[in-house]
Amino acid sequence: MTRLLVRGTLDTLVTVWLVVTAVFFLMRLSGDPALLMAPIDAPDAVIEQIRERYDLDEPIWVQYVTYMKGIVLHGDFGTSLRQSGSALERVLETAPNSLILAGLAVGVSLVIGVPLGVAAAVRQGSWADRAAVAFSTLLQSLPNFWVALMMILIFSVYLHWLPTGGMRGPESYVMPVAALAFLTTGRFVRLVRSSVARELSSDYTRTARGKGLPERVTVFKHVLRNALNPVITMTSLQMGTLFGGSVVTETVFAWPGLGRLIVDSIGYRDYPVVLAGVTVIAVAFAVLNLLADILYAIVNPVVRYG
Amino acid sequence: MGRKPHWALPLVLALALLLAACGGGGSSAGPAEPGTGSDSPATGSTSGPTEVVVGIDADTRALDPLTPLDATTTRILRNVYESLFFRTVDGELVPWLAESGEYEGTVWTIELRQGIKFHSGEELTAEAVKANLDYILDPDNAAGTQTLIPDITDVEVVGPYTLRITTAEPNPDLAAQFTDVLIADPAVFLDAGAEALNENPVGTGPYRVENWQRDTELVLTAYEDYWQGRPSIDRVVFRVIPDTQARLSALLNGEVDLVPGVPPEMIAQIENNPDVRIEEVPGRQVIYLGMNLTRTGPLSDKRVRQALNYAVDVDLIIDAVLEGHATRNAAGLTGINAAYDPSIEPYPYDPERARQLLAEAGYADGLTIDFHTPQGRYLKDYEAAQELARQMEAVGITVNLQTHEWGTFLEMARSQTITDLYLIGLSDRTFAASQIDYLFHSGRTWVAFADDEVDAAIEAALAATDPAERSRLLSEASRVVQDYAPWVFLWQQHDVYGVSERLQWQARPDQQIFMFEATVTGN
Repeated sequence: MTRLLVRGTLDTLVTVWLVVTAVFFLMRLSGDPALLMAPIDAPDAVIEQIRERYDLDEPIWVQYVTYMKGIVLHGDFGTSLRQSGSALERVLETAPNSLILAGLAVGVSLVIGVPLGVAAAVRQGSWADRAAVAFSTLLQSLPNFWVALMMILIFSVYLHWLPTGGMRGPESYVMPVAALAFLTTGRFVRLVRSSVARELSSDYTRTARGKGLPERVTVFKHVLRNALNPVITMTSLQMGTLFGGSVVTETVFAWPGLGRLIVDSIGYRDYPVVLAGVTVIAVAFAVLNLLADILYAIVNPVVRYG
Repeated sequence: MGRKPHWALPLVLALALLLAACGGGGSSAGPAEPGTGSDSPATGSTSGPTEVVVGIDADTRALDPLTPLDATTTRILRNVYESLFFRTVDGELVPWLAESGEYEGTVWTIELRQGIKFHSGEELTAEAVKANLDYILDPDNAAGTQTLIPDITDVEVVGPYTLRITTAEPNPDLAAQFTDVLIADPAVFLDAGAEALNENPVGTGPYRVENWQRDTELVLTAYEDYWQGRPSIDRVVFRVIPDTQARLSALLNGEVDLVPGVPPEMIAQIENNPDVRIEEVPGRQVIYLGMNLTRTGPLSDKRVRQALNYAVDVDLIIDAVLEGHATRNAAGLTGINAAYDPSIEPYPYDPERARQLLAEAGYADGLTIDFHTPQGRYLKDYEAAQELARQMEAVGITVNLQTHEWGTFLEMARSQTITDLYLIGLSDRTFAASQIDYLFHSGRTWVAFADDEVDAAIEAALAATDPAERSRLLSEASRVVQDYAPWVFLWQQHDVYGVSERLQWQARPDQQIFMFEATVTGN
């Protein structure tokens, strides 16, 4: 387990460094932040003052080294160029909002998707199976922004049941969570279905059935345990993806989340916030991967690392 | 075999998250009731504090009014900080923190109103105003507002409430230029720098900042000792709702009372609902096709530039693409600009004349030009650009239309590495006559050409002090500019707001959302 942790941490550090470096140069080479910080009609002298103030007038390699030093030595990602204040603080303020959203959405997807997937696999070819597959395909193919806007129109504008957006009180969670769960539930249904189906046709299942175990025991004791590995992987991947990538949902529902913050910041070339954001996402992915690895080992003791 | 089934683990994990989330949600919920207290409009509870929620697309950049200068920040912070001069809701320039302002030659004498107090209790004095202006004018502070008052050379305090301001040239426009220069309490920023205002925003405005949650909401509460009396609305919330349709839905759902930037295709949704209405006014933003004349090419020939102006049917685009929510622009200035002359007619749509001019310029067999546009920056920018390109093609011009992400576009346009034509918008920042200099005089930030005749006409007009003479020369300068055709003149955007019926508020021509002027009716 220790070796797992050490290797995971090293991998993460290298990944984060590569990501930060790539993003730094991509952001800085694609446009001048000073132009976007100043009013469109600012004279060149004001633009120059801004460049000086934020050290944007140094050669880019020097800026890179200074910037990396700040991160490594002080954990300092710099000041937000768009809005004042520490870039890392901005990210850490919004990250929990995204984590909650992603966690709830994945949770809902699991609660709905796993039983549906199992039911579909066990009764392959039946109407229930076909319905589950059709349902999951439908969920996955609906564009996210459309689903979100339709929900707002129905539940806020016509029915007045729910607030259109924001993060104020439990009722404001319902639509954003549902919109994201729409995306992921279909994936879980299909994955669980195919995974369980594969295990059902494997040798050990035939053996279990052959020795007369009741079907219930076969499915729940043996098949599910083996079918769970891909589900764990998917859970950790989906958590990571939704954590930093729920841009559409966070924008439509005015959710103060990380994905929206990063995309807004890219528009302003607010690279300190973007870099702090991608770092947090990269770390989150690494932690989730690690958690998934640990879960494999717990769920299936045959898996050993070392 | 007696262990719990392992597949329960992910579920437990999910449940744990769910619980954590509920906990988090509860604690961060703050005032749990969403919206405006208008959830039950029929009951009309007139007691209790009145609250108005404004749904905005992007957050204020800062609470410091001195450093950034973007339209969103100023129109919001206007409620917290005020300017020496301001405009009435009809666009008339009036003294505000100033009681009067007079100029003679290069000297303006400004008398402040007495008895105005900052939110801190400190009095607004000539010293305080001077501290603000000195801070803004110091180049080291990189204050965005500096661009509004570039030619002030000296600020002098001559009495507790009297300032003497000297400008490089006689400047009749100074009062108008002051309308977007917001004044903060110097006690906050003198030693600590303007950034300190982000933590401690102290102005003289009708509202003080209660709470700012970035990218979420800015909550303002009425300032009891406001010099014009306590505002009638107790609480104003500027809530960030980035998506346009969601913002309108929030209005229709009664969660917000005022929404700027309603696009034409969504106006019907509002007009069909009895609880909300549309307020529309010609705005500050003038959209035009800029030309990069620092590069030699077909556009160096005036006949080609004029041909482009004759080739485009702007009225058609205003009707069909913008659905009537724009006003034709003839020579760059907006309708309430001090130098605007309504007798100047725009270029007529005349494709024959365009072909003829192109032929005279030696392009009878056609020519190819690049045309750059941002997408989603201005109302229907890309749709309009496509139609403009089609109309140019109709007179024999091959148009190479390219779209760019805004940051990239801005850099290309600003550094004048952009080729030929580009669609862009500039705001009439002050509605002062000096706008004509800013738009067309050589050497200015967005002027990609230099013409002695244009420069001379502008200089002569702005130097004139006799009002009648000045107005005649300004009109003449506009005609010279129009004939030189440095732009393809297009339109002035309208500002369209969705407003809840309970809110009495009128759209202003200067985009400001000044809630002191608003009231809420019983329901």
